[in-house]
Amino acid sequence: MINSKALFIVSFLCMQWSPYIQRTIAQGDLSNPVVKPPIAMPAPFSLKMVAINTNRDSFNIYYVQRDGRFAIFQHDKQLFDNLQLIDKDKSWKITPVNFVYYDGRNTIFNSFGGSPADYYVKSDLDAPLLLGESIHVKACVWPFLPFLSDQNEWTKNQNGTYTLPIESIATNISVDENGKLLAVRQVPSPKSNSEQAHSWEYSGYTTNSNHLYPTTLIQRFLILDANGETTIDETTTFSLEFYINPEDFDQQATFDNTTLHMDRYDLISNNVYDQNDKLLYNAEELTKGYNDSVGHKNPTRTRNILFTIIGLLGIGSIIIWKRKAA
Amino acid sequence: MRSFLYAASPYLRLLVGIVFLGAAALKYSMITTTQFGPRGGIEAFAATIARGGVFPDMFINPIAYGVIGLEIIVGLALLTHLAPKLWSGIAAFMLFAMTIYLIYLQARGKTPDCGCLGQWDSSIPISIGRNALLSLACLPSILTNSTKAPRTALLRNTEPKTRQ
Repeated sequence: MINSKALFIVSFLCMQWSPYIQRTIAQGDLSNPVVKPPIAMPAPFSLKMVAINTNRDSFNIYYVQRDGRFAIFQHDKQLFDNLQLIDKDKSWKITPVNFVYYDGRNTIFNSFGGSPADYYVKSDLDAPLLLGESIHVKACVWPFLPFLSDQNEWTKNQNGTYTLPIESIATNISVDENGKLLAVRQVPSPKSNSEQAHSWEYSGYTTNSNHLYPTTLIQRFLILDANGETTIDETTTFSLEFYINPEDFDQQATFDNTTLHMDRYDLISNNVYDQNDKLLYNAEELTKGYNDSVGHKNPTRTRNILFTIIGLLGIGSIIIWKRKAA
Repeated sequence: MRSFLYAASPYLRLLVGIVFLGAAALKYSMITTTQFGPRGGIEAFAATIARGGVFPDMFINPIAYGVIGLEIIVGLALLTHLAPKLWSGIAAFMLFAMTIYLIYLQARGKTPDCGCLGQWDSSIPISIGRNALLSLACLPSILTNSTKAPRTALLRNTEPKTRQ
């Protein structure tokens, strides 16, 4: 499992560096004076978003890819806890969501399924997201590639491929000598021999509707052996098929593909503002709406009432015992 | 030792009973996200069990209702101090069964939590440790005949004071 602190750092970096990256991309000044990335950054954005849910509440990953580039958005319940933003179980589906780089076609392409083999892509929001709407957690790699390649060197492998390790999120991005994406691999380290770590590797890219999609997902469970070395305990290979309904796209709003969406969360008022300080929504009200939607008007209150009853029962229990003992 | 166990057993029963009822309350008030959207209450707990992938789908809801129902019944029974040996034994058996399930979940390593304490849940190893401690807390009630004070305790209370 990827360290939530690392996610926080990436998220923070994302917020800090996104304007810089955007400016850099817009100016086309992407050269690295020290180590030049083997891939060239694309011209104007037209990102295709693919959401992949790992079928774990605590860990949803959204990939954005274009021309073989990846942005990885990680929506992590633990991260929500750390940031104290909203109820950790708030569903991102009902949260106004929008990514730093958003193609405006509606949405996050949502994928839910019982197993990774059930992945599919569909538009799942009631309405296209509006400019200025924002996601609470942003953790993206793609816009950081220039920055990251400043900080992390591309490693040339013996077979002529290149690998860019991004240690903060335990991710390796591999490209061939022509800059074609080969694989994105997340390899968290298991912390102990009693705890497995999961590794995901997406590879075998194919073109579908002029967008690249991975066709293979290799999921590995890693453990520490007796010598403290990471070994693979179990490997499962899934064939990925992405279903895309063109009608979903035709209905989408236009998009200013150079707009960068940033938001500001006020921890005191729970208000979320856009980059122009326009109030977008109040997170507390969203939480209330969420609670209503799941049939719990106020779970904290319910819990407190139940605990009070249990406390009274406990006192009653002591009285019963004292009488019995007497 | 027996007298100590006798003295401690009602308080330990109280502790176990409250934890059982608290666990049921936390499960009832939990919220989670499933592939079918957000869920609350017992449905949320059922979704957590389903994520474990141990039980077939048809058993998930009965298990969720059953676990919460049993926790309430056993918790209340422990608080009444009626038939403490019986109810402490049932509680210990439940904890044992849950621990087996948790060990299996941990061995699979594919589920981060068990939903034992709803949204207050921590990791599975902590839940296993908690169950072990609660099982130990059941032992005095099982080992001592709580309807009667142990002989040593009675003797101590009824022993005439010797004059100096």
